[in-house]
Amino acid sequence: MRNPTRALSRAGPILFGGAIGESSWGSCMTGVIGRRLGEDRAQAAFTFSFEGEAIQAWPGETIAAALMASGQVHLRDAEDGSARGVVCGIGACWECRCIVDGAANTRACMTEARPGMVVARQHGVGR
Amino acid sequence: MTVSVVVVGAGPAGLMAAREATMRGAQVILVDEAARPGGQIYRQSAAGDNAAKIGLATERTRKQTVLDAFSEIAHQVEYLPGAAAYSLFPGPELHVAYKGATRELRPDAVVLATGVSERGIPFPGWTLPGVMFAGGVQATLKAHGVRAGDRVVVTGAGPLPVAVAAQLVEAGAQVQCVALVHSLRAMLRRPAALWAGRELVREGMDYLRILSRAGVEVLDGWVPVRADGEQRIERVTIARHSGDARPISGTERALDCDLLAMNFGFVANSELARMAGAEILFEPHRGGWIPRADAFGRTAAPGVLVAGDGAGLRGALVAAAEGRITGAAAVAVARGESMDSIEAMLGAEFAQRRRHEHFQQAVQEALRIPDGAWSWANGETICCRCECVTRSRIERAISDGHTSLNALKRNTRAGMGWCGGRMCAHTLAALTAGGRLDTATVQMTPRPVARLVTFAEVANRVDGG
Repeated sequence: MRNPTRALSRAGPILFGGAIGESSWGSCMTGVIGRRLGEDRAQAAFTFSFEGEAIQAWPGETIAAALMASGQVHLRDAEDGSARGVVCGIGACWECRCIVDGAANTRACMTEARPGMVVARQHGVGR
Repeated sequence: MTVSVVVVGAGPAGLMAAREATMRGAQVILVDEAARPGGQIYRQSAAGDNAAKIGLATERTRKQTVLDAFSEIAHQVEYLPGAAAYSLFPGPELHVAYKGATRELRPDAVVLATGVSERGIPFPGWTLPGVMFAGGVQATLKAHGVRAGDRVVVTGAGPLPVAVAAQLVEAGAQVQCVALVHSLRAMLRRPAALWAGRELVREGMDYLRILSRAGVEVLDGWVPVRADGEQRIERVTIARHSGDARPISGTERALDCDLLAMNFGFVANSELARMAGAEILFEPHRGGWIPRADAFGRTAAPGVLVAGDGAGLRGALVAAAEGRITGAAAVAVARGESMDSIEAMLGAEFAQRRRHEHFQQAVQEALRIPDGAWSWANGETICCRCECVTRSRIERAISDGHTSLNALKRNTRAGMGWCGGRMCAHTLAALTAGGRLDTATVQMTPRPVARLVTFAEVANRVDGG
């Protein structure tokens, strides 16, 4: 087998139901943990809040990546009320702009998550 | 004489241009939006997780070769990560927002290695959260080892959807199917080109094998019809098309999913080249509006050179070779020397570029999307995502006589928003030309600023040398 982690990768969603949950964190350090490839995460996780909910993140992760791993994809309501989320993932489309520690129009995909950060869904222009 | 060269973009083209210019004695500043060098294709992992293992071993070797080549000279380069190169004026004079201030750079030459963004083609429901670009899904895997969904449908054209689908399988996602506009067998029409790119063809086969082993269906000749869901995607409907990309009624299939990964081509990040006065061509299958350049990357704008996908989509291997050529040419331009010696000295790079450009002809067979795709949107579909402008609003403005992209922007705000028109310009071009892409279509006038910056960043200026 060319990639020895593959079997574990496959086992991930079976073992953990394919969805992230409290029980799937931390204990297993190989294969896929929830939506995260779980090996070699040496540093400790921390939390920030999104719409009042505690979101777990690891150092270096963007807000967008941590939210995706937690199943949160609805980051913004556009001016016409339509729901939006991350689209390009590389800072080009600005669809993932949300309110970070009070600053509107902050791109979730370009902003590193920090412990204690307060992230809110942006409605319209965010004022 | 010490000359100065600024390179914009730290993907394969920019990194190799920075290396070559440095090795030829130029003082080099490398400006990049990302936090780490590598660009999109060679994006590095953010933390010490195993995201670096995404992709095939051969791809990771290519990435390491480029990153190592840059590392060797990195200490001699002034590297500005997290920076926004937002205006380029004749001179060349480049304005870069960096750490809360603007650096005004007046180098002897600028190399633009700004790469591409993904192109969306609007269809009903495409603005729902959970509808992402395939490359964006891949970027999140590469940088963070996070997969963007559990039950995934992948759609689009060319090799990227297949690679991303296989990487998602490896990351534990359940991929429902890969719905391609064309069969990848379209590439067989160019056997010599396939041979030229045999390493990449082998990787494509590896990815297809991963999909087949996981029981993932790869459907050829399918297009998206609509995405449905409350506040996020829950279901996508796809349908067969008969060669023109228009869905055939009665062939629809609905698939439950929490992620739709799509790629319908690429858009060159050519704003700075356009602003500087380079001559611009519209080649929809090579990234849309791209600067015309000679064999050394020189554009019509004095002192402004271009390299890599931003100068026409041709992939990472062309970009790395072309970066070296253009980096050398930038130093020659800066010194007022002729290009005569460059082709002799960099013969291997010229050969590498020729070979992989040949392969790209085969890729383009698979990437070509029929004009019928511009009819996927209905009247209510948002075409300009930033300003929430629907197709019917745009068509009303066109029937009122606002038939250029500039006029449409003024009249409807389409293309005026946060993304700078990158997401909708091709759609607007297609709608103004009656539902097809016309190579004569002129892009919106590029104006400062090409990237969003704050007033504070613009007001706080430092002379950057």
